[in-house]
Amino acid sequence: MITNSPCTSSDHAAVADLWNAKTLDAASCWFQAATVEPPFVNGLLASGYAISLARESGVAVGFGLWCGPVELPRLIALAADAEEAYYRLMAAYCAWCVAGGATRGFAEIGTRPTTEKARMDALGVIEYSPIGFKPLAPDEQPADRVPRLLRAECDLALLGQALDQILEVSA
Amino acid sequence: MSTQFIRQPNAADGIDTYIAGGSYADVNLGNSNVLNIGTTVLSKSAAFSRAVLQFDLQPIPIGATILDATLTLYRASGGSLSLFSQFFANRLSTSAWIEFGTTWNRYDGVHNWFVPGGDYTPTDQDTCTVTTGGSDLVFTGLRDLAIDAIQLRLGKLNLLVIGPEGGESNNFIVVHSSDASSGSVRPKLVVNYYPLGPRRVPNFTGGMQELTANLGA
Repeated sequence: MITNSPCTSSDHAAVADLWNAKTLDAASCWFQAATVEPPFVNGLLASGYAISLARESGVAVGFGLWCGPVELPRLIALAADAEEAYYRLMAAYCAWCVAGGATRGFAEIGTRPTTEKARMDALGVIEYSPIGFKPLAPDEQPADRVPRLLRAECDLALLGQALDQILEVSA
Repeated sequence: MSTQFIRQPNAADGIDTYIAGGSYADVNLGNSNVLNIGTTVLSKSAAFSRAVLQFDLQPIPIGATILDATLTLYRASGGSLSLFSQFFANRLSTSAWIEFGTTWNRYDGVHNWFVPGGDYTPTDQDTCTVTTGGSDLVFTGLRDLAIDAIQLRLGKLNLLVIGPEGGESNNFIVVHSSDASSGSVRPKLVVNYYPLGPRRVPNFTGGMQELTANLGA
């Protein structure tokens, strides 16, 4: 059974290990991201970020990282190999947002086909809009721009329902 | 009597974007309706973000006497911005940047900045200190940069706005860009000036006298 709990000071090394392992996963949006050390995780918590750790049989299997502001909280990163752990972490993000009074949340994700993008698509409730592009040369036209980065935004009530549904199916 | 020049361009006329390091270093964000400034975690790494803006001051005549110039960037949201965080509006020393080409690494989609993150001269700047969490960024001391733009740079005022970099990784502000849907929150530049500065012309007694009339500006 997978459980989520807020990251504590004794979890910094586990989060850093999960983070660094994901940077080697070529199918993930984490691929080739910068690696981190436990003090970096400590710094995130000290700066106001929220980190939730997923465990299965006491072993850390994933984590999620997000932050305010209350009016539009941002999901920064989810890292989990197992689909169920990924969606349970997203459910933890959703619950955190709703508890803070938010009705919508957002994330930014690359256009490259990745495991995380496919999992977000599968929820069917996320609206994407391009916000980052391959930079244009002086002789190219704005219409020729190629999206590289998407803003993924959703209604948190709809997200919660979609997560309940998908987790019921996978249970 | 002074004249007031107000420029608060929309998406079609405004030239602004923000650039970010880390995994966003080669992504252009020229369409964004906000500008991130400061330090935050973008995607999977802590990164610095800076705003790049251009204002066209060509309607102000070269001979004008600039009294003051103020840039206001209206806050949209932000992280846990530390009180007394400082922001700097610097003169970009590379003027050939283009809105849909610039990134942390490049200024026009092809050519690299000399220094990633934008080339600027830290001596040509104005400082704004944030004193409350919800305040806008207001740079009231851009007079010298406005004069420089009008007299030496074909009226183009190119600015690189830098926030707190280093330290806490949630120390940033998000301000509205010219792509914002509401016109009143877009970046606004106000310049007060005398259309033509006092001119000194010879008088008939061999000295100089001030000629303050408007000579057709």
